[in-house]
Amino acid sequence: MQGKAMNITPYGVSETLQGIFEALRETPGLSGNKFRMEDVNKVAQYLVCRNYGKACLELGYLCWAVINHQRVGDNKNPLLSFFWVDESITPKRFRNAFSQESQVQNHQISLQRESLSITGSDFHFDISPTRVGVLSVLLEFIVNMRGTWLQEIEDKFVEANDKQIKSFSSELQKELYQYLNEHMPEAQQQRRFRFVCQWLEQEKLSEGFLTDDAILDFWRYASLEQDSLSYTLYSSAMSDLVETHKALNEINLKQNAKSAYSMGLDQEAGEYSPERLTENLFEYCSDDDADCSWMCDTPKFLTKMQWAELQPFYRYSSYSPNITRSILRLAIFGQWQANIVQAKRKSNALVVQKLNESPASYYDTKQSLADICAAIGNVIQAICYIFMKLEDARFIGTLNTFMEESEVQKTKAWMQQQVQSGDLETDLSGIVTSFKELMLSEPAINQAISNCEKSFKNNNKSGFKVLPEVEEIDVYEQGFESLSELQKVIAVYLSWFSETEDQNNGAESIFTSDVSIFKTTFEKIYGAAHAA
Amino acid sequence: MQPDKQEYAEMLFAARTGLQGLQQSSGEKAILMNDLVQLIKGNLPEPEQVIVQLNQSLTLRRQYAELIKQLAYAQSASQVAASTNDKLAGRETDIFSLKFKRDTLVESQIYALLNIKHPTGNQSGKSVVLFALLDEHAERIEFPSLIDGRTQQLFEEDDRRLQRLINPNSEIVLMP
Repeated sequence: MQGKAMNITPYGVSETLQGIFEALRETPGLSGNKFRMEDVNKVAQYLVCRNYGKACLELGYLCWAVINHQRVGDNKNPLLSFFWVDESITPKRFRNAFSQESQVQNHQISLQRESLSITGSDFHFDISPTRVGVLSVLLEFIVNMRGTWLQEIEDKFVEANDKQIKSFSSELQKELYQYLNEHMPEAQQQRRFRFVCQWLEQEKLSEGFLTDDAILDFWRYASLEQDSLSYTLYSSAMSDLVETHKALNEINLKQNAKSAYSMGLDQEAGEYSPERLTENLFEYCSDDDADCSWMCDTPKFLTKMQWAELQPFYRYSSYSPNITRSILRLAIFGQWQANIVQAKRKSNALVVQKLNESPASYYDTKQSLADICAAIGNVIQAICYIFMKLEDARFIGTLNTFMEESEVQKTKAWMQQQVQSGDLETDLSGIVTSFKELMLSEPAINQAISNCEKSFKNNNKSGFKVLPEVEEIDVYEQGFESLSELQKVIAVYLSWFSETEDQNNGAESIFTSDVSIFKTTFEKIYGAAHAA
Repeated sequence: MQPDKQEYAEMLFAARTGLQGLQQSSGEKAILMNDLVQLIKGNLPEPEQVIVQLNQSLTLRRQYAELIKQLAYAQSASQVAASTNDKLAGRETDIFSLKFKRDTLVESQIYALLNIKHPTGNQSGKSVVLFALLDEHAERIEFPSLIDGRTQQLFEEDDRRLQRLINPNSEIVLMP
């Protein structure tokens, strides 16, 4: 499934690899998308950290179990059936597939309480059902890398011993290593990091260097000095400066470590452990790396357009108090630049046209963010209604996030009273019935619930057209939590506008100044096309 | 900064920017093996996108044909060219038979008649899917669900699907 020309993006990964991961996130399955977003992200983490050794071995043992199980393996294409036709890749379906113990000569495959216990002629291995999702993503990736892997595994693994399984794992790792060298060349990322560090040294910037001025200065310098690293894009320059800041910050935090052990340095081998890198990297990093595009699936908590607009604000939200202006610049001028780049592929006349078009103003952006915030509010209300109709006690927590404070206090007082008087069952059953009595006596709460019902009925998006089944309700809680997070993120930016109004003649004068800066730089970058 | 710490910061930078890259949408989404399996099952919400890519890639088409055969319930290999001039000669296997009959009223229309001896639940309850594999193209043909092991579909004589079914060089694959 390869054969595309290699084109490495500014992030240091090939377009092919991007296309594969986009497909992994969206490929359909028996119900909705085949793979969970977390599992796809986990495999992405393994690959970027080159930490796939353990997963390759686990996959080997899992495939062995599928092929050698009396019932599961009794199929001309057992791996195809297990992973693609039956999709036994959720914990529930996995347990179902292996529900019958298999004992053939000295092989035993049996489901225990916590894991699938696999015993071969000379090995024993346990696989947790919670790992099968990640391993199935890895297998899909491997098959995309080379389609003949599936047949090879099926041929080699019938009654294979431990040495053969480990040999497969080793071959697979080698092939992954070579593949990633082509599709994620480390040299490019090294050059970028060193370029940023050299600039920081040149400008004598140290800790706390991440400011609006630094980001702008770096971009203006790099875009004209170093075209080969794609720093013409404001988005790339900003991304690299922020990521360098994060990386250096992480080092400084560990500076007091007595040895490099805490960072995973193997002194003898002289290299860092990929496993420790993964742990440190993703333990340290906050949720700004989280990808919320799952919220545009089913249930549709956000539209794709809303997420596209929110993405830059969300990604850099943990930095927003310090570099809000840069983030706004990214959202507006980054988009303006993307339009110019697209125009450049078509004609010079179109480039000139795009250069002379005014981008959306900061005020327009503020309005748009406020509109999205309000839309999110409606979805949260719809979720509250769903919880209530399905008699799920989570509706109270949801309700309290958007009612007026006085009503929230009344609800809390009511809850306390219910619990103390013993009127509520300990498992909160009957809570909705009891709550209706409160609604009768409190018009404002009644109105809030009525608004929730209206929001649900007005919502035509998938996942909100009809009430879901009770078994499907947990995803609505995840949606609620992420939507609440997004509202908080938006609120920070909206407050910047208010503060700016007080200080600097408002956002519009800042915008006018920024338009001038960016237009001048774009004209220098795309100037040859412009002049033609 | 000490060299080893610099190296570690570099690794963190590379891993994080790489992860950002893998979370971006690309210009062209890949076609995975799972997409082909879903296309065979008739489960793709937007099959046209995959079909366009299939038509542009011989590698993908070969993989698609291979998957169809692996997932097959029964197959009928390409036939020796018929010794008669009967253009509507059908197929017969242990599992199914496929016959053709011209419509008596509208001569330009032809019935394809399918008989399956031991049908699956899917074939009886939902629909019956045949693939006609010819020249590295796979044509998907859907029939209504079986009644008493039988189903039929009416085609115009020049319908490509019918032509592929009739062609003795086609490999006919019955899906479960």
